[in-house]
Formats: sequence, structure tokens, C-alpha cells
Amino acid sequence: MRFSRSFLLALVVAVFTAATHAAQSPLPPKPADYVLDQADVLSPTQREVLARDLEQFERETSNQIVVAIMPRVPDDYVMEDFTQRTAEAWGAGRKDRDNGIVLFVFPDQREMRIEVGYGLEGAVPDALANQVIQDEIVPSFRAGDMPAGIMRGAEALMAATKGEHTGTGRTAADAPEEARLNLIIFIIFVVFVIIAIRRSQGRGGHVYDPSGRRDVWFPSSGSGLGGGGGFGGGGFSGGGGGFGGGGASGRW
Amino acid sequence: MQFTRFLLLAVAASMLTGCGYNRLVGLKQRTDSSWANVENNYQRRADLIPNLVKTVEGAADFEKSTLKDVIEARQQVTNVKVDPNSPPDSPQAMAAFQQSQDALSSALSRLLVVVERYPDLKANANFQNLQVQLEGTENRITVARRQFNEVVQEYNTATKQFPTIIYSGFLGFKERPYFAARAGADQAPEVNFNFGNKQGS
Repeated sequence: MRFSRSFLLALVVAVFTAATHAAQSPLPPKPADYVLDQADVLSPTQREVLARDLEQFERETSNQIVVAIMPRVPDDYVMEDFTQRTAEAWGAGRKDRDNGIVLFVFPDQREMRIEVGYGLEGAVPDALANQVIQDEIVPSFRAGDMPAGIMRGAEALMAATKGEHTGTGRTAADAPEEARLNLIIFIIFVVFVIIAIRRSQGRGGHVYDPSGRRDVWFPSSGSGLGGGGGFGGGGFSGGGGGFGGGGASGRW
Repeated sequence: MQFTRFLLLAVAASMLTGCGYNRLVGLKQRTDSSWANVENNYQRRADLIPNLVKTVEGAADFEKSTLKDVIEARQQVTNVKVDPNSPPDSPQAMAAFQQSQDALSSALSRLLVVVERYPDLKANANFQNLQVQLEGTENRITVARRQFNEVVQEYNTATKQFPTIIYSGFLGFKERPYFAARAGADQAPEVNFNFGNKQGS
């Protein structure tokens, strides 16, 4: 009984420490796409164009660059703390390369930050991140053209990280789709095997019809697989990249 | 009946403890690597200082006392010897390390405030570059310290949990010290180098 009591105590301690962690307001959930615009800074077309550019960029280089526009930093966070934790939670970049960058913009506070993953700190050192902010983004923001500043900033970041890694032609979001497709193919395969066994048993061990007629199920299986390609690709899925606080902050 | 029950219990216990022991080893390893990361970032900051001092000294009649504070604080930091591969095991050693590093942080922030009075220096490209690097390093230190504290908390909790608490002590899994929060850390954990930009906007 003493053991169970100390076990309970340990449990209480664990729950308590978890609770103290949760005291701060929760981090924003992972975005579904490469561009998250909660402040309605971009038009739907601009957002779509930039998101597809960034998606294509991941296919080519495996680097994940995400743009996050939120009205403001939650009150109980300092910006740099918030952006580092959020970038880490979203896991931009591949786990083995840590090659993610998140460009955060907080229009209500006129503050921004480029959060650079460990694996891109060489390609985008703090001084370069600062340059992107000061030379590419801030001038447009000051002129009142925020979409232009965001586009230019994203382009500069893409240009700086282009040579760093080579991509696989797929995004992290594509990978689970493929796994799902494989699963479906496998299920179809199993179903056919079962049907084939049942039929052969029903006919007393003969798989082929002696008349030479092919099994009617096979042609339909071909079309079934062909239809399997209809999954909508696209969207952002973090690969689990890590962030150590590299990057730069700026105001306008 | 009695025997099989005993056997089952023994197997269950050994599984539990085996699993707990491996977890402790893994966690201890992680506290060491988090510490190495903390040390690395502090070292990186210390390495930036000679360059910073040289650049600032170049500015005509720069306030000598502020500069001297930074140089002395850096000296203090290098005097406090710590193992870069594993954290200090006593809270006192940890506090001494943290005190020297925090003193350097505040000397640096004072220097950067004073620089505001020297427009030539502020406009100096070399200085601006150093300032960005310092700012970045300071931020990395904050992140590394937080991550270190998180891992140490996990490790310390694990050593005190049942059943690991039975053997954690004599197998050398001692409680490890944390970084104390910096003064006023709940509001603004880092040194703000952006004074100029704030005034300019």
C-alpha cells in the first residue's frame, strides 16, 4: 500500500508540473497551408499564389518556408519566445535537416520576426535575416504595401536557401497521401485474394474458367486503381524540424 | 499457484525497473547535451566581445567605464570554470555560473544603451553587424536555457518517481540544478537591443 501511495504522489506531481506548463496560453495550431493569414493582410489570390510558390519550393529543395500573419503576440509571451516555440511546435523543416523558416508578422504591433531552423542558420545567419527584414520587407511595409513586403521577404528567403538542400519532388504533406494510397491498394489486393480464393473454392479448385473467359473482376480492378489518384495534394505538413532561436526581429 | 504469482510479479518488477533505468540514462544524456548547447551559446557570446570592444574603442571618446564593465564581466565569465559537457552538480556552482553570465548580460545591455549617444558608432556597419549577432546569441541563450530547464525538470521528476527513486540515488542519478529565472524574467526574459528602432518608428 505504501508503494501505491508514493505512486499516486508521483502521479500528482506529474499532473501538477503538466498543469504549471499549461499556465501560458496555448500555441496556435499547425496551419493547413504554407501561408497563414489571420489578419487578412493578403488577398485570397495573393495567399494562394504565395502558398503554391512555397509548396513548389519545398518540392525542389525540401526546405519548408512558412509565412504566418497574426494580429498580435498573445499577451503572456515575449515575441521571440512565442515565435520560437510556435515554429518548433509546427515543426517546419525536415526532422533530419531542420531546414525550416517561419516568417512571422504581427501587424497590430508592427513587429515581425524571421525564425530560422538549425539547419538553415548557415544559409541565413542572423545578419542576413536582419537584412531581409530591413531591406526587403520594412520599406514596403512603411509604404503601406504589406503584401509586397511579404512576397519580397519570402522570395529573398527562398533565394538565400535555394542551394542548401535538394528536394525529392514531394512535400511532407504528400508522404502520408502516398501511405494512404498504398494502404488502399493493399486492401484492394487483399479483397481480391479473398474473392479469388472463395471463387476457386466454389468452383472446386479452378481459378480459370475452362471456357477461357477471364475473370470479370480484373478489368474493374484496373479502373479502381486508376481512380485512386484523385487525392487532392497540397497543404503544409511540418516535418518536425527544430529551432534554436536563430533569425532576426524587426519593427516598422 | 503461489510460485507462478511470485514469478509474474518478479518479471513485472524487473521490466518496470529495466525500463525506468534506461529512461533515466536517456534523460541524463539529454540534460548533458542540452547543457552543451547552453555552454556553446555562452561561448559564442564571449567570443563576440573582443571584436565588439575593438569596434567600440574605435569611436572617439567612448565612455570608458561602460566598456571597462564589459571587459571585466567577460573576465569573470572566463574565470568561472565549468565542464562544457555536463552541468554543474551543485546548485551553488550553477548559481555562480549563472551570476557571472548574467552580469555580462547586463554589462552588455548597458553598453548598448550608451551606444545610443554615439550616432557615428550606431551607423558603423561593423557595429550593426555585431549588434545583430549579439541579439541573436542572446536569444539563442534564452532558448537553450529554457530547453535545458525543461529537460532537467523531466529528469529530476523521473529520478524521484517510483520505482526509480529506489535505486536512482545509489546509481548516481542525482538531482540536477536548474537555471533560476532572471530577475523580471516573467515580463521580459531578454535584453532588448532594439532601443534605436523603437525610437525611430
